[in-house]
Amino acid sequence: MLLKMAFRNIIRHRRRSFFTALMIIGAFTFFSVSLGMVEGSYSRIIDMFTGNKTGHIQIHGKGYIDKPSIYNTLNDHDAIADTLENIEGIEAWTPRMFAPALAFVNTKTTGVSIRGIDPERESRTTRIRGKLIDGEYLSAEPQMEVMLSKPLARILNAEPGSEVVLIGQGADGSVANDIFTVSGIVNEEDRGSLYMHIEIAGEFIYLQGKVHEIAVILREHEASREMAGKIENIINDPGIEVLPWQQIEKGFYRAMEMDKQGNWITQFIIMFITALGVLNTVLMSILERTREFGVLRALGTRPHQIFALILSEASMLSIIGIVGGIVFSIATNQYLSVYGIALPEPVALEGMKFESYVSKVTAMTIYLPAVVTFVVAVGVSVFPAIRAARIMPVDALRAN
Amino acid sequence: MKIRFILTPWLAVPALIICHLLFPLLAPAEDTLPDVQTIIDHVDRLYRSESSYAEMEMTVVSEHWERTISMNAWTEGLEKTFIDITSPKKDKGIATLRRDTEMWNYFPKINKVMKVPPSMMMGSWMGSDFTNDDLVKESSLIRDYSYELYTPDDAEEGYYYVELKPKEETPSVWGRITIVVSKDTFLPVSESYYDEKDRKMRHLIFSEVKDFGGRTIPSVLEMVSLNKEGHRTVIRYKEIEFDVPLDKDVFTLRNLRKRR
Repeated sequence: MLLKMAFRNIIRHRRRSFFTALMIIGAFTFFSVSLGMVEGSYSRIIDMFTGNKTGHIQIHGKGYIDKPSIYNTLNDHDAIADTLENIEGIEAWTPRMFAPALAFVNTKTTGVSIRGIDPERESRTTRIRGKLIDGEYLSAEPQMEVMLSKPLARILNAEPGSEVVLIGQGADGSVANDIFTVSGIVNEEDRGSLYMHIEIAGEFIYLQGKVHEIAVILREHEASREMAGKIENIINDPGIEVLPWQQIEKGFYRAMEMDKQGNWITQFIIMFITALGVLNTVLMSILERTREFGVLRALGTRPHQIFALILSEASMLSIIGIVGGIVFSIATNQYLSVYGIALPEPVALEGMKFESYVSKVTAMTIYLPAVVTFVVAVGVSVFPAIRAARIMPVDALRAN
Repeated sequence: MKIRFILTPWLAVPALIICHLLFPLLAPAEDTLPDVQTIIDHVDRLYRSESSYAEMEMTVVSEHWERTISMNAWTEGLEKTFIDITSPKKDKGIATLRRDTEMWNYFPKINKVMKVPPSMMMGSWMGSDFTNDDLVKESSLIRDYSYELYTPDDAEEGYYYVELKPKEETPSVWGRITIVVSKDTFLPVSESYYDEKDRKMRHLIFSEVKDFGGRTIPSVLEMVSLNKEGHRTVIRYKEIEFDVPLDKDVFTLRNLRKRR
């Protein structure tokens, strides 16, 4: 009976109902898209960041992250590689070897960190090939060649074709020393990165066939933590540590989380503005009907019935608005996730370039605005509903 | 300090004679305490000579690896040393030249001579437990340290125990050094090195006494680093000749750079 009346009230005042619902749809879409943009931007940053070097998951010997030692290599990395090949959801993986060394080019000298990589696998896992700004990428076959980061090339005054002499500590205690040719320069901010084929690195520091790290890229970065746990369970070796990027790049992750917290303030303001809009519409539609409620009261309707009637109307309207809002916001977010909003000037962050804002549709961009708009719309109706319920029929009928 | 082991003529016999001449009263008294100076002087000069040529093998053992390199070493007086690594293949041709307090390493693969900076003097030589400083320092126990006989708690019959402390003007990383010398042969048995906080840092053991052209010396030196677990280095003399005539060019940077 009550719901039927509420429904009829909505139908009868088509224009008023339409505007209220429109207000709710607008609020919902506004909120949802702004959430989507935040999610999208962070998602993009995470993709850029992890695709730069880190990967979504890294596998090391236990304790390597805290105390890297050239002797802390992975036990049986071939078996780990087989395991990774058979896990669903892994996009690519690549083995790496690290060692410190001293580099000489003519009279210039500096400390470098050798990064032994598998050129083909690495280029499928990270964007390294795309960062090449001069010369050639490392050959797939092991060659006595190296790639330098841009600042390193500047320090050593080297260019493709230059000879680099490296001196380091061999794993057998000997003095590792050899001559390499610079094949290319990569656009990286790191001052010490020197890339070479992992097999060449193994021969150089006398760790043939060993691996310090395996970096893994997943199809979806959101699954990093979960997949890291899964891989660790499957490998099941206490000497092996499988960590998601959040734990490897703690500093970056924390900074991002803090930034995200800060964003909630903005989100709250957006929420507040939309709530005010809804409040305004609902309030007006009730004040407008003072006479109507007076008549209802005069006919013997109990105050709590009027209260329930108004809340039912508000609920129905907001459900309609939310359904409309979901349709609208998904469409908008989807569009923005593909085309984005172009930034007037590209923003560079840690060597990564952002040219546009993109959005992303996640469960949160739907349920959070849905809950918030519903609570706000119904919540703001409570006060006018109480007022209407308490109305004195005589005063109400006299009004206007 | 290592220099003492690699080099110098067998002056022990003449040294003893000189000692006998200088201290005639001490010499005949067989059962009285010997002069500490005589003992230390003997140890000091054990491997020293006007010139020498040695072939040796060095085995370095650590927690993670073990490797053996063969090398030839030339010395002249206390000031000059030249070491040339002959095997394994990947280290062949690496050479070290030391002249007075300066030291250079040469790497044939990269054709580069690198001077060992003063800050690296306490660093390991070729990954061994001997430091660059051990090779370079021309320290003489008798000149740079004050010494006295002492009896440790675990003293055994048949050995002299000598404790050395650096003299005030001697720059040394060691707080003290103790040496155990056999009463019968006057040859060192072991040396212990203590840091300023009196923690035992390394232990050097002499063994396999051999006769090289009429001179009897321990042919195996084992250095155990006590601050690095499982880390030790064994040097084994295959051949050592004293007072050999040497080419003047041996101890030059030009010779260091020459590919052999």
